Amino acid sequence: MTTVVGHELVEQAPPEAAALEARSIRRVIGGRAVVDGVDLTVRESELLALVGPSGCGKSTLLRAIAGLEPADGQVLLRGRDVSALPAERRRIGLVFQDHALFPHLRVEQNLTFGIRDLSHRARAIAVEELLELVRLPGLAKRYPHELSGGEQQRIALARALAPEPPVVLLDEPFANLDATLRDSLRSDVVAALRERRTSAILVTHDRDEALMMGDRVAVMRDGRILQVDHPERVYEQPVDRFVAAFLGEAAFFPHPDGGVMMVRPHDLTVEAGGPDRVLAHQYLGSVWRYGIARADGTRVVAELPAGTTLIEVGETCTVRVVADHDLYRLDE
Amino acid sequence: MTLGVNAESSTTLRRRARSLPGWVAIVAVAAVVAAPVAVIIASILEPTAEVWQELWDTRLPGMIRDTVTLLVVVVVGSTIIGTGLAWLVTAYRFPGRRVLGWALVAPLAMPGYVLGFVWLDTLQGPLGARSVRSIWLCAAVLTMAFYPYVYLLARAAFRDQSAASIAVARSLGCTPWQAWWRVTLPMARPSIAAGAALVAMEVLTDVGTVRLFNVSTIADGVLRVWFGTGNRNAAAELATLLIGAAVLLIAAERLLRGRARYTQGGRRQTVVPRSSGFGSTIAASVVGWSVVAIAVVVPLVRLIRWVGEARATGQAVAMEGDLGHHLVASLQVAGFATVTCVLIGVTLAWLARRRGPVGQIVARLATLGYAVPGPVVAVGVVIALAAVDRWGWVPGGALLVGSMAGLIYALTVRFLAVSYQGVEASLAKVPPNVIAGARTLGARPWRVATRIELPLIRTGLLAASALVAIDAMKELPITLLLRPFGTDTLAVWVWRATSESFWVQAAVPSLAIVALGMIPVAILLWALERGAEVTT
Repeated sequence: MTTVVGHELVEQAPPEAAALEARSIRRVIGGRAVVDGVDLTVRESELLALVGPSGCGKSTLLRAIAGLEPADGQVLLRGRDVSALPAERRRIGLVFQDHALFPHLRVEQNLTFGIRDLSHRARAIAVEELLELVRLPGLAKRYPHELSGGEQQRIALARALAPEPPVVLLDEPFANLDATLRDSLRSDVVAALRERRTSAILVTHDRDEALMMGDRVAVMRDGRILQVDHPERVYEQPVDRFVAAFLGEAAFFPHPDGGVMMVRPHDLTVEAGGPDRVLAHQYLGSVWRYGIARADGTRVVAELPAGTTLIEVGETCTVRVVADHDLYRLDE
Repeated sequence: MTLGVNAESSTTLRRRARSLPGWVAIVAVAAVVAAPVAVIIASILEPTAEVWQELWDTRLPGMIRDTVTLLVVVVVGSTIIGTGLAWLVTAYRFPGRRVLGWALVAPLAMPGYVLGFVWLDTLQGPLGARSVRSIWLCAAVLTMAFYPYVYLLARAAFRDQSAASIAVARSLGCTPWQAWWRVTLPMARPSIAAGAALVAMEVLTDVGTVRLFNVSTIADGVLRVWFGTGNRNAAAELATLLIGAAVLLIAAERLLRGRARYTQGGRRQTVVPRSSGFGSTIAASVVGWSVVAIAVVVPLVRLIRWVGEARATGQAVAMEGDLGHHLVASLQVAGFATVTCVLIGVTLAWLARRRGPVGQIVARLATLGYAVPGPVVAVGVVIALAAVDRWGWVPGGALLVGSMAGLIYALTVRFLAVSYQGVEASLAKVPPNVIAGARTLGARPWRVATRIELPLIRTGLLAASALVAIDAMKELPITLLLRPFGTDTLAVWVWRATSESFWVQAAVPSLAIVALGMIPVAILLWALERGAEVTT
């Protein structure tokens, strides 16, 4: 990777310094703490997925980090405190859901918007490299409205990467795209970020997207970060019921040692006959998913491999835990 | 039977679209409305050499110089003031921001010629009777009268802009000021250019204000040739100059827009006004309210005082006896013109929407009149109607020239574009799937129109009507040339009084125009607040 685009020497930070560190970020709007003392660290070349329900403060946190929203707390970029700097001097890239390409500028002008200090030649090379990076060579002369939704989003990413920022913030970048496009774009975005060794925060409300794309996943609710960890850890060992249920279907059974144990649908099996009753079933290709009312009135979701004998809606059944691993215990 | 649902429904639509009556209606309306413009353009084919030659030797170079000077100064002034004020009320939070936002539109109800004679009289003392009648003061007055066009369009553009664009610009290293200059302003450019083009049209067409300041523009020349020599053809030829200028302006506006398209799709966050420091708050309020004071408050106060003086001396009693008569004439003319424009505009836009690009191009032909200054339209209408009268096509031997029908016809030619554009923009916002849904539920086109489309474009329709009413109320040259005997509108009354410099006599009808004009302005504001579109 050449660094033709780089126009500012980044001060050598100690090797252990994170790409981005947010310390006790707090933003109060109308008396309500929309972001309530958030600490968050993004490591070098890491993609951190920030997931949470709508209105939990994800976007506000992102804007505060970018310097677009006044907030208390500290933001450190490669160990350098940028809290006092305005947005334009922080060197943090941004990509929005509505891509926000400048409609009056051609693709190449959009891409070079943030690197206009460079020579004409250097900019031309940068445009070529960036288009190559997002796999859209040859579109330099187009206007944004002449691009498809997926192309617009790729250009928006390339534009954010142009000044080689240490960190890029992605605010629900795939929300407006259809499913097929989203899948290919997701892997290309990850590839582009890796190639540029750029760290990123990806804000999303889609739990699958967060688990799939994040090197680590941060779960946010009501302005607070509840848990930050590797995807499999937050999914398998959530800190509380909210995190457990937000990241996937979960039921909670009493644990023999006290507290509750979290049961995912694949930890359950269903047999015909018994105290429980089938409320609904769905065929998902690889599995049958059952909605079951248990004898004690609770409801659970269970998944059985396709090919097992179907139990019809309304028939009685028995639900049993058959996990081949220790079930995760939540203290309450 | 095709299997594809879309293919099926679109062929059905097309089949309907080919229905002959609709096409006949579009083409007929377009032909009738475009006729006067065509007549003018045709007049150039047989030039009246001697009048033309004389004009060229004497007044024409001066006319062109004055017209161009006025055009440049007023357009630049209105653009700066309109854009600046629009950004002020969109992006900053200060006490009285909402009220100021509305008050800045009020000059729409204030005709340039009223503003003109009030300031003429006010400044006559300090400047002296001779130097007060300068082209620069005239330009200043017209700027104050016309900046609201830029202001309204620019404000809508700023309001609809995505805040994300500014945020991205900041993250790419722009200071707030650079972000405004490099992103916000260029993105609003098409709207600002459209507003500037409107201002330019208004300057080209103005006759009342320039006459006050002894500025002889081409539009003024058309009137002088008409009344002075009575030579309609010579007036028409002079008028082609104005059409040429208007066409150039439209071309320039399109050229500025180029290939770039400035709408942004998707859900977006709009610009949130931010609080500003004490100093800038004061500055913003002072700037905003001084414009309102110059363009509305001071003139109103003067007019009211003149009326008071006249009453005290008993002068006004005689005049006010006529007020009712003139008021009725104004209401009649503006009312008929508005209703006609909106009815034809709705019909045309609705028919054209179902007939694809060709239908829309034909319909657009009907709106050409807006690019043609008022005196020119009047000349064209007279020539066209005189032909009809000569051939005796009208039953009962009634004459069209000098009839109310002729006047309304001319006003429709001039202002149809205003209603058509508003209706078209509103119709375009009706989602095609909503119409498809109604169709699949068994609604025929008429029922779709009355039950779905009309209710959905209600506010847009209201805004369009208000704009036509405002224009028709202030309109002077067409009314002056074509009014039926005895139908003297308020505007004509003001014109007569001011051309004799009887300011006091002009005060009563001026106040009446402004008061009446405020009603459609209020309606317009109400509709715009509810998201009505006024241009495409």
